[in-house]
Amino acid sequence: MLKEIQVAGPASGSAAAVRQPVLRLEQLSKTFGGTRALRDVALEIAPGEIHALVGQNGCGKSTLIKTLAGYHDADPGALAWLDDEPFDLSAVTDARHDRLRFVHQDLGLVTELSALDNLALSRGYARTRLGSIDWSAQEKTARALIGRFGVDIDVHRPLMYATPVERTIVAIAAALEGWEGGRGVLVLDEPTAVLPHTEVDKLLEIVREVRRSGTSVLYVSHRMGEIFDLADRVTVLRGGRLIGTRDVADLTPQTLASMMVGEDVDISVRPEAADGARGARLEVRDLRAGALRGVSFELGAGEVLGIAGLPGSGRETLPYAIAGAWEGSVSGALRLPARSDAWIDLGDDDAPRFPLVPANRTTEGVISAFSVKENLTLPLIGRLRGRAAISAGREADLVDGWIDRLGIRTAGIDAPITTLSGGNQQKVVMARCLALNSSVLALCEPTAGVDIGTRVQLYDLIAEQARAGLAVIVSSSDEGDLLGMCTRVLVLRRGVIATELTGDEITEPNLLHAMEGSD
Amino acid sequence: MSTGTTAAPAAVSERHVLAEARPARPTSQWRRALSFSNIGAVYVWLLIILVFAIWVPNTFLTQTTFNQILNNNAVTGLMALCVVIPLAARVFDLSIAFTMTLSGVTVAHFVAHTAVGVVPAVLIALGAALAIGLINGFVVVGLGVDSFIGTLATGSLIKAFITMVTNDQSITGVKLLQTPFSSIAQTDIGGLTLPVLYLLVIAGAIWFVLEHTATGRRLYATGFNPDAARLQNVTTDRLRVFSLVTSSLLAGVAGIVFTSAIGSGSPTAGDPYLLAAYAAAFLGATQLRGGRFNAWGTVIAVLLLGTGTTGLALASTPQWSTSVFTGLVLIVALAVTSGRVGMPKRLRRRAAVAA
Amino acid sequence: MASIISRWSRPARLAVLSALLAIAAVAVTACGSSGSSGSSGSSSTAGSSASSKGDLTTADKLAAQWAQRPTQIPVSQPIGKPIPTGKRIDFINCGVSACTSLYKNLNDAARTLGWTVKQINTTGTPESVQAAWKQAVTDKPDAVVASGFPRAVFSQQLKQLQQMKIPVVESSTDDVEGGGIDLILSKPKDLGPEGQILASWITKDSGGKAHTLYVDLPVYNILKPVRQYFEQNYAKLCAGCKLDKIDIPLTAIGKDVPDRVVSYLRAHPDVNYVAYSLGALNVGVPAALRQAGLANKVKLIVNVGDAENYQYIASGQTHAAMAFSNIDQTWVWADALARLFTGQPIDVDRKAHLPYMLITKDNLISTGSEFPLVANYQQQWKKLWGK
Repeated sequence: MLKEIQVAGPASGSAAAVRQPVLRLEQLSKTFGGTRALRDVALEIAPGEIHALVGQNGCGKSTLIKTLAGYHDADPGALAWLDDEPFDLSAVTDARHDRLRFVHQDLGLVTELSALDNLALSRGYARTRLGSIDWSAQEKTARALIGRFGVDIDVHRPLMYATPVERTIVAIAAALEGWEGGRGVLVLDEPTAVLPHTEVDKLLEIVREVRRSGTSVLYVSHRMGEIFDLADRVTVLRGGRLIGTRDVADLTPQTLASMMVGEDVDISVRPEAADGARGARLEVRDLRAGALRGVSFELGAGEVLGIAGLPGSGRETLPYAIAGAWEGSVSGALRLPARSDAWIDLGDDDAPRFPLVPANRTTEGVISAFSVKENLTLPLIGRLRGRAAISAGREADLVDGWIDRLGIRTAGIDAPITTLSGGNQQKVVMARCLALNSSVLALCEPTAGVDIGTRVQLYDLIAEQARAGLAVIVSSSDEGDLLGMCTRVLVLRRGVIATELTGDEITEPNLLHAMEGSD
Repeated sequence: MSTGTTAAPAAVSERHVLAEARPARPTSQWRRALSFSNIGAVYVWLLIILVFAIWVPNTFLTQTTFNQILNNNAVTGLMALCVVIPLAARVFDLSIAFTMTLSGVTVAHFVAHTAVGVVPAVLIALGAALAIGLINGFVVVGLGVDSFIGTLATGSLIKAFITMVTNDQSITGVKLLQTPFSSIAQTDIGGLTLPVLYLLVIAGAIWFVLEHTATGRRLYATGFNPDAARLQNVTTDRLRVFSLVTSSLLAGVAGIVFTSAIGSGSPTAGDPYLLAAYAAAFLGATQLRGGRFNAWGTVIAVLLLGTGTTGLALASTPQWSTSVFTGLVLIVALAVTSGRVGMPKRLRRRAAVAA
Repeated sequence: MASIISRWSRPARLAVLSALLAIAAVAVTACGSSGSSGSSGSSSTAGSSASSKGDLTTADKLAAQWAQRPTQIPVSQPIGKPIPTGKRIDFINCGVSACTSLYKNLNDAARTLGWTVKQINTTGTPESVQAAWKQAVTDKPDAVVASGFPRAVFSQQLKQLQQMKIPVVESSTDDVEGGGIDLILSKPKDLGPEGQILASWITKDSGGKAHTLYVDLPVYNILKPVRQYFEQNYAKLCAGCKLDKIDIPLTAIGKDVPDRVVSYLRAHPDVNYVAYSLGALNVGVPAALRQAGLANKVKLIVNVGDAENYQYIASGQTHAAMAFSNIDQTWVWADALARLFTGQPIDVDRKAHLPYMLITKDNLISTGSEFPLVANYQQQWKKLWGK
């Protein structure tokens, strides 16, 4: 099914290191104003290898990619070679473009246009002799480019209707257009960030296919699993410096994580079992909203309950529906035993609202134009009033307090929220929720876009809050979250609870089987 | 493995390094406050004053000119302030010009043709403006019509109403030229007229609300990211109605002041003010608050443009030069302060990611 | 989306900014001093061949004449035949309030004669004007009345109306009668009195020592002849008097005009009279003059008084106005149509001199816009019409 393209080049990793590298960078530094984002970084990519580039947010890997792409100018003194030919990092030449191709995080596609149009965007359309577009030739080209990856896409349909993995494939095809394999580097920047779990494998296959054709791949990613699955070697950056380049075979997830964070980080932390004696905090009966078709469960004080499920199972809806943040219609009943015995109709306007960490931080979680302080205090701003005006002192004290408590790294409380890393932004969102002092907290995708060091801190934070009595619901598509935080997991399938896993039953294979219904 | 989530903006990394590498250096607050990107328009203003001081020294650099600029731009300033609160909530009110006209002819009618007295006439006119604000709120928030189109439509209806009741004729009457009505706009305090005071007071009030109250914070939240705001229990709908009501009320005030200034109720009073109001509000947003619509920035913008206009007239330049000046100043002032005017979230994020 | 310039250093930005402003300043002064038509500050001094004393006398006489209220309607010949009733007239409204006033008065006159007037609206665009004339053709009325439209826009419809023998009467356009248009009132050459009134009052009031600022609204073509007549008369009557001109765009009325006038007067302290080609231009100016301390230094006269300006005159904020009444004009229209419907020639209407008056505080008739100059006009017209 996957066509082999005839080129030389070994498939394995370590042998490649001996050969002449296809891309080599040395003494690469980049300074922004007073900040050194990159310091004397060296990178070397062997022919036909998949080379991973990893590091926490802020380590400089995106700066490196942008400099390589010509978007930033490196500091003077940087050296670069493509196949032993020196090239100028600041000059964007065709020769460079020929052997260095990029697929950036946003894919560079125009989703309102079709695959065919997007592929023609950079290289132009096939023309007839009259100068008009030769649609049939163009279509043939498009199908060939995409078909190479063994995928069947309607090249005429606007890409907004395609699945995320189809879009990623089109982006890769567009990047490789006009390049029939051979020496060169394809840079993929977080290509699986937007892919659902089921489609990731397809993409990894395609990356291997690219390698088979003789092209090296520089693969930037957050995800340990992919790195160990895919890469031959890995380069770790931290604080703008090169920490080291190693063969993947010589590393374990633990050692790699330690290199990234710079200290020993226990990535396999498991939560201690909840103390069941504290009683139920929240009871839900026959919840229906969106894809949910009648879900009932209990949540105890001090318990961290995970919700798992494939897209469409209702997993994404559940925390919103419970927290009172679901925009569609909700029905069902809810009871807070600690407050009263009465059941409250969830469809009511005065159904209780709980703090919620939303699934999509950039669009729902933070207000990008606001500062750290303004984001943190938004839901409680009414309580920080003097007579009419907001008390600046009380606000600052509150924010400072949370910054200290959660270890939020920011240049100041008035710094724009966008200057914080994903992990620190998520801490702000957490702080905002915790400051409301509710008895129940709902989290969605709590570690999306969060680096590994902060991830662990967030797990610890939730565990600590749970110990103090907070009842937490965690809905996540990241098994790591469920493993790292939850003592009990409800697996949803087609809108209802299919399985319940407790304690040691919570393992990745069990979760996957339960979600897919193959248990 | 996460599903369907986007990673944090890539632009984060450089600045995060600053936070990680060393503790925040206490940047000089004053240096930032006086920087070009913060108050670039003020520097442009000073430059313009300098240019005219050299060009027409005898007439420009006088107390009279100072008074003239303030007095003759007060109504424009009031109209520009009208749109600041709605714009903070990302609501466009394009009916302000007609609301201004409506309240103007209403107060003129009641003062000139009836015996109700000036204060009741003013209250009735403000009531009319308030009614328009509520209608706008209903159309934009209740019916969910996009504010740009919705207020364009209501404006058109108001215009038709004005034509219907005035027959396109100005409302005149001797009482409109006499105190107490004329004193609303024509009372002189040391060379400055009362409308300048109204402008400063209203600007102060808007500044206070937007900067120092919970409502202001929530208005900005509504404008910047209504989805996120709603998740934080911000009542975005109510705030948007509030913003439309305030803009109509302030337009009503401007209309009454204008009518008192010219001594008649003109059925076309507001027409030239719409564009000027928005230009000033957008220019003002680039000042002082880095992309947020704000009161004092708007006032600076109005006075900046007014200074140029008056200066050019004093220098006896051809009449078209004012338009050239206005266009040029807007472009230069915006470019110099890097024109980042609370851009739509979508665009900014894409810029950050693609960067 | 930081602009490229914002990445430059501050000195670089300042340099660019100053350069841009300097270029603009140079351009503006260069163009300003080239003395192109309509530029401000261009003054002319009248020829001094005639003795200034003689001119002053004429000016006094003319001003006194015009200050008298007209007592006769412009037509004196009775119709002599019974005027048919039930006639349908189409009136095409140009879209501004002046035309609405024409409609109202035409309606009054028509009702006296037992006719009905239907109004067709336009929005100012050539398409809407054409559409209105097309509708008139479809209506097949007994006559069409319009004001202010250039013939080119509706020439085809005019031909059709001519074929159907439907009379068309107009006013305020720069056109000639014939080819389908039976009568044009207030043609450019009829506007002589307007310019004369303005010039004679200024000369008389200043004793021959005036420096006048003429404020014009060039977007209305029909005001061009007004200015020309004014300049002619001013040069003759006010020998040696200076004349400055500024043009105002339509959007500046009410908002920017006060500031522009005040600025001009401050830059040219010799100016002691301001004449406006249209009364609407004066809106808001008296108050601005007061605030700038110039109210006592300058006198104001407007062309075509309206309610606002009459109010200003009554309270002493403006000093004189050229009065012209739509009422008088529309009744002449009705008279012409009556003659056409009874098969008579309309030379008397073609030669009619519409009444004008110079109004000051002393002879202020009314502070409304709609008052006739000839007080008992209805009586006089009805007598002519045998009613």
